[in-house]
Amino acid sequence: MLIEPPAEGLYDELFDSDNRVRPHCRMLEQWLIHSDEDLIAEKRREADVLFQRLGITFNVYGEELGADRLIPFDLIPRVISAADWQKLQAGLRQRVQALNRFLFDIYHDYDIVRAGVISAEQVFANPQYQPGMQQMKLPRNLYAHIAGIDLIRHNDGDFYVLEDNLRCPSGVSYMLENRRMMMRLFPELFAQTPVAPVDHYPNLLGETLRAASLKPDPTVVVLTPGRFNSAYFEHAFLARQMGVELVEGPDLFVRDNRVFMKTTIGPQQVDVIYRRIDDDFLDPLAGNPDSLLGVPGLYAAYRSGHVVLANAMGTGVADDKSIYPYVPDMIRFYLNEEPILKNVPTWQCRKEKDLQYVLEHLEELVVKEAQGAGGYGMLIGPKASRKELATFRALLKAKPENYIAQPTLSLSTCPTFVNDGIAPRHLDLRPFVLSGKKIQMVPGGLTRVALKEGSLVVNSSQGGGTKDTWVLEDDRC
Amino acid sequence: MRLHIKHNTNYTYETPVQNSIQYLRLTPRNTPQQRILEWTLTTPGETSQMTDGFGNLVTVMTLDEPVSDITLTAEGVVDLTGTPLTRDDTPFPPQVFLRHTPLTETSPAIRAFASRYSPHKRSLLKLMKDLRDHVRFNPGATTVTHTAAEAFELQAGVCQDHTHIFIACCRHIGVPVRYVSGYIHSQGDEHLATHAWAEAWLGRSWHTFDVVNTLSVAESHIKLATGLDYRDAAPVRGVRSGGGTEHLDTRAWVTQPGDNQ
Repeated sequence: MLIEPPAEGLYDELFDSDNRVRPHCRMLEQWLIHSDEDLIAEKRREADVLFQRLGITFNVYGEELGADRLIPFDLIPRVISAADWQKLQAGLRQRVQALNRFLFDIYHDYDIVRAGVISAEQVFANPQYQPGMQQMKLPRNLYAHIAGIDLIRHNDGDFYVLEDNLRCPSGVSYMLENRRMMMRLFPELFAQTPVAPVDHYPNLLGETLRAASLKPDPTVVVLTPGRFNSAYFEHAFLARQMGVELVEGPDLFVRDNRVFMKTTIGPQQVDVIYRRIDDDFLDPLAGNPDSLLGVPGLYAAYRSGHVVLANAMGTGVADDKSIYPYVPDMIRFYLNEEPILKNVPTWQCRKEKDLQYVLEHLEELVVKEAQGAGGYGMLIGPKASRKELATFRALLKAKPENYIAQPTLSLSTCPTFVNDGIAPRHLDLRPFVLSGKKIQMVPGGLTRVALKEGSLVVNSSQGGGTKDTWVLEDDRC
Repeated sequence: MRLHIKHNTNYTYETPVQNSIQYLRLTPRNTPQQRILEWTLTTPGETSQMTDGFGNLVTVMTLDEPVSDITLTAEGVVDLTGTPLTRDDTPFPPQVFLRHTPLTETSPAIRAFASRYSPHKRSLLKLMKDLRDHVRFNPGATTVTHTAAEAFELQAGVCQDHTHIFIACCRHIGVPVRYVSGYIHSQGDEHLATHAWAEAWLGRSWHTFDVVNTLSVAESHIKLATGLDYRDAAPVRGVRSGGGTEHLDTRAWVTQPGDNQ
């Protein structure tokens, strides 16, 4: 098959700037060139049927309930060299370690604020800061047991962290299913290429969750908001893979500041809750009083140290986009190291000077909500209409503290199957970093791809797809 | 000043409550301003204790037997020392209290009202007085779920509403301010003895703003709990299954030896 070459000035994962295939991708290129168009088309149909049958679909907020959609899966893997991954892995470890140190600090002695690295107002007035977490003793001082770090590769070839996800990062089930699908459809590819495995992720997650408690053999459950949640498939999938119970709020109750699960043989005490419910909904007696998703009394049990939540309450303050610009300083402050991974330069609209710059350069910038997620409520300056620009100008002036702005980064591209062949499409990468007795991750992560030509928005809710992510165990092939 | 407090909270239900769990912030803490000489909290259920993130003492009560009414009685003796509020008595910085909550979110009307004042004591005293004039004390006009914006619109409410509106105004002009629930001793006994007021952080220390009584000194106030808003500091928060319609009767007596009872 013919591969449309990458656009000039962009970094492509398969080809270098002279349009020569990158050495570690030679095998993949050969496979693509020699693949028969009809065979590939048939494999794509097969993949669609399998995903549908597995039930890997998702709901899009704002669409009618039950409108389950398939996240498009692209058959061409994204390949990361062993050398690149080594650096990425070291950078991710460093970053997540610093973020956990930061969370411990701001809920205890807040040295980083006292030292003047970040202002008290930015930390403590942040709506994601949970006063209820003050002075709590958590096992191993861990807050973000599971972190999803979104990375992009810029046209300079370097990876940049776009954002940290420390609340309930999702998507890991797609990473696992994508690999399973590729191995099923193209076993011969894996025979020829030293692709690092990812299928041990549920084991590592289970190990991490058990390590979140200091009990010798803790009981772990996955707490889901229920089947109408867009990530319900993943909650069920991970619980099954780990061999633990999937529960909803009403399956649990609290007595004597301990959490119990209702079972057919009577109440069983729960020690670790891998919760996929937002902070405010965990306990109607502590947060939103109208929440039916949580467990009344859970906060008291947590605060008393009789149950562990993963992730902890109040982790959102560390992944907030207004805190993001300070992560490199956190790494220097807590670890006394230089950051390995780069941050994207960020203008904080809360600062008058920054706001002025943003308003003057709106056409060149990406503007995001400091609290937003999922690609909702963002502006991509170069692609925006006059009307959209005017709307955002008004929003920025009304509530500047709600927004940050960044330069429009050129996300790297990777060959992707499109309607009329193979063409470059933009992508990002979300590795999942697990913090327990030690920091662990499976090689790679979830690669999301913007399927629309030229689009930079990879979110599945905005028409993005996914790819299998290959980290090579050895680059000499 | 030595005060004796008795506080009864009584819920009666249309049909029996099958089970219930409640967070009770009905035990005052020792602070430089108040010394707790005696205190007992009597409840019909199993209890355990915790200290929440604001440092409030919380009794967690659970009930597993069907009951048709629940009575909570808090009773004790407290010495008010007369020591003024000073530095922080909570372990974290006052900036925590800059943030709005659903109950203290401002409306355009509150913002217009608040922007006439500045973050200084004298100006906030004026704000307190003007607010008290603007919003009538009117039990029954609001419920515990009314927001600051709603009560401001109604121009009526009770101490909880006055306090929420004052908090909304202060946060709007950048003053950290917290909600306090507790009791007040008043000779005339014109208001309920259960009470709510605000404490604002002005540069170096906390300052009392009892909006309903337009008082800036907590000379006869006993503090039960503090938080961002009523939800954080509510004396009782609970959920139950069963029970149907609920009737609540709450009474408190704060007396000084020698008061006519």
